[in-house]
Amino acid sequence: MTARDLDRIRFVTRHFTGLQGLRFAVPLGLITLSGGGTTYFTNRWFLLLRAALFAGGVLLALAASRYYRRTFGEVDTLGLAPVEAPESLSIYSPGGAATLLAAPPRETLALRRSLLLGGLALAAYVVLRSLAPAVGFEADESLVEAPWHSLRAGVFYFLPLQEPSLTPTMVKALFGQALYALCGALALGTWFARGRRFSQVHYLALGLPLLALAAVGASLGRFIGVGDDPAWITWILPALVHLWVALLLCGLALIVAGLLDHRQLVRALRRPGPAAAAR
Amino acid sequence: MSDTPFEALAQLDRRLHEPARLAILAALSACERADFLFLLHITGLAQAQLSAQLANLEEAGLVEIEKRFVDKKTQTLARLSNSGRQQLDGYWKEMEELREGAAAWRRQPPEPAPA
Repeated sequence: MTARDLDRIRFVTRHFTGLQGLRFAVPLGLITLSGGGTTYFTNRWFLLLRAALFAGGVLLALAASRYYRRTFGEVDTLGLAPVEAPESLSIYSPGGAATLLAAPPRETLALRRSLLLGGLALAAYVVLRSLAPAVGFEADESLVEAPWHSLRAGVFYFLPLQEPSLTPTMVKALFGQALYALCGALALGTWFARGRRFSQVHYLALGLPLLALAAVGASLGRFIGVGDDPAWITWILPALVHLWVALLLCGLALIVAGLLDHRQLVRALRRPGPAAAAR
Repeated sequence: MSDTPFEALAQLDRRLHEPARLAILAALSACERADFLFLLHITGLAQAQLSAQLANLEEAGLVEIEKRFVDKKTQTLARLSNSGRQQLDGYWKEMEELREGAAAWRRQPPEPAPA
């Protein structure tokens, strides 16, 4: 048995609840996807799809909880406060010393951290947006066209003389960009919270592009209005303006992250353990 | 510290310094408590071996075992005792000292061969 085996054991145990991707991230991703195209309700099949996604997310969350408990057992996680004497940590104590300090349960700490991160991300988005020239958007807000048709309809963007009014297009654009900031920050925060491990790098890979979309959306005014607009703006504009695209991207990111977490958990708990191999 | 790290290695507490028990203790050190099924998966031990090792650890005072009924089935929960956590902490520190001792011992120039 190596230190790496022990490190893996401690990591999987410590993050057992968080790695249950089918219980949290995937259902949340499905529910997020179901929110896309909310104003397009004339197509019955599309409505059924959205309802199925929502119901599927809820049912999966309930079923997955039972699945993980029956298949892999239960772990009562604990709140591990920062060790008072980090210099006493041994490299053979992967993830930290075994000594515990009294702290709230890990789930409470995780929720607090998520709320704090989300709040900071939204605040940063608002600040970034206020520092750049305001950009107005106008797009097709038809209630009878499918959402994906709006990609062909084109988006008009302009630097308004005043702060642009909150038209439906603007509200959706702002909400979508804020969603990128929120999801990106949570993904990045998860990667940091899990020790910036290589096995969790998918959170970094998913979080950075979402944060970049939020940053570009907030500071778009810096890139337009001075000479010819860069060509990449036309390419990225649908993601910045259409809320359903934001819901699609964030939902897919959650689903991918959840599936990868689940895969890691299953692989860690199904293969012969180091203790068995050492016999 | 002995002249070589090998003497210290031979004196490690065998209750902890054993792959199966170390795997169990490593898992329990990262949580409040875990049930038997989870320990079975995370350590990869056979059911009988895990039962025996948990009994050994409980007898040594390193682990506390709790049994409860859930859905008409017995569920076994294990947690590190306070003494177990302290001894495990001490074990990690011993291993760290051994590592440093071994590194220092390797850096020593070889003794010249007798004429």
